[in-house]
Amino acid sequence: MNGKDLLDIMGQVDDDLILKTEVKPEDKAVISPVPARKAPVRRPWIGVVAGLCAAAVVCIGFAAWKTNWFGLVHEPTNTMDISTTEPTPESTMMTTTPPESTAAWTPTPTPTPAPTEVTTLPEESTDLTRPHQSIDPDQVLYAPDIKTGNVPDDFESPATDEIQMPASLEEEFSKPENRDKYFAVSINISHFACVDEYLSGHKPYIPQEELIEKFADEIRTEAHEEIDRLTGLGYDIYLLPSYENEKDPYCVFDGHEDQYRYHIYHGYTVSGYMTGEQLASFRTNSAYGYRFTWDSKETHIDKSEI
Amino acid sequence: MPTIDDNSIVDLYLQRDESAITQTSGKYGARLRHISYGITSSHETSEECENDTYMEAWKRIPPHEPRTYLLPFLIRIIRSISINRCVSDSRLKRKAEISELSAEMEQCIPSSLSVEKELEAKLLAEAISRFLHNQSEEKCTVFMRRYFYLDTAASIAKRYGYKESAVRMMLLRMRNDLRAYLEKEEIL
Repeated sequence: MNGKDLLDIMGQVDDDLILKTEVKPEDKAVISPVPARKAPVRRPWIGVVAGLCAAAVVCIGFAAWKTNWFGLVHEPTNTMDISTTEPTPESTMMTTTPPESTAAWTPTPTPTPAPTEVTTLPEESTDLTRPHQSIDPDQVLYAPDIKTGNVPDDFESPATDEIQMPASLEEEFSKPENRDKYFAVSINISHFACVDEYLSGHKPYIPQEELIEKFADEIRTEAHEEIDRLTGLGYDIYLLPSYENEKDPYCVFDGHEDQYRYHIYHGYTVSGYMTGEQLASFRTNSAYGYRFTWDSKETHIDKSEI
Repeated sequence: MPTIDDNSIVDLYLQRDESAITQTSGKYGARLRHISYGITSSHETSEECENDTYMEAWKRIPPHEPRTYLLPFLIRIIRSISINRCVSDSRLKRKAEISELSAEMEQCIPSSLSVEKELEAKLLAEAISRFLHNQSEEKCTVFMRRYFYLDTAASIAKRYGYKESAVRMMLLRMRNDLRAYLEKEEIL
């Protein structure tokens, strides 16, 4: 019996199975009802402007106090009075400057703004180094079903330095009782710095063959470095192989029998287990965009299965 | 044209009344074409398959009397005709995909298995049905859409809001589960 015979045998399954899975011509695609939070576009200059404004206010306030602009006579009676009634410029800055965020890894030493828009907790409370072996299977949280854990496809791919994740995942890992629990997740990492940089100067159209030929090695290197960076941060993630049989002309291939592939526009997907804490303080590389999927038991691919 | 119930349509076939085909076409034509187009990816071919389906139904009724299962009866016919067209007509671009699907099916049922008799094929189909009835609705739907309606993984993912990799992984696991089930049932 060959595969064609088997397909024919599939044609003999029960009537009710045929009818309940039929898609009528008028049926529209089932769109995931799960709302996804699209991360706001980061504007690093806002922090700078806010800081300058705060500094200006403090300077003006300080000048006003020194020159008694408002005619307020204030003679301190003792040093305690000064310290309790007049804020020093330094203390005002402390309250207006955004709290120091988790440091971002970037390919250049240029200081970057806070890398994630998800709520971050203090660094010392984040345990990023737990090894894979310590994961208690009972502590892994899976999405209740496939749709719940997806960012709907009608969302555009994340921009660089942007995180997208389904609202259900964020809701769950934000619960205090889930901070230490593991979530089964996949992360699609899109953009390649070398391709983005090249395309910005060669619009509107570059044949993909040219891109593949020119950047294959750099794309592989970028992917390896990013995966190394993430695992170096203690994230228990691994690159997923492709299950496509056909060669995609938009992909750079890698690994034994080319089982890994990096799509020049859609990137690649890693999978793994991350704690609620790690998800809340996820550290991006500003060159890439990150789309999280909260995997269900049916869809999660464990490293042992690869 | 007012539609009549399936029982009456089958009566027309049994009476060799050619309006049976008109009634069938009016009631189910669009759905049958849609299924065929899903397999062949060709409007022209799907229309031809639809016409062939009515001819085949005309030949099979009688002796069949699908009074309570006319639509599944027709779907089976058009599916089979459409697959055969894909295999025989090299112009159809889905020919390669049918080969891919066949290879996937062989993963869960070894091709060395000899099912020569129709009865044994029927037993295998019944076992697959039992297996699918024991699956969750979403898994059953994905499996049927892939191996009965021959949808691509990408189109299943798009329609049901899954990731394509999730669909492929689900299918891979289900093929493994099906193989294990058939071995347990001593069908393999």
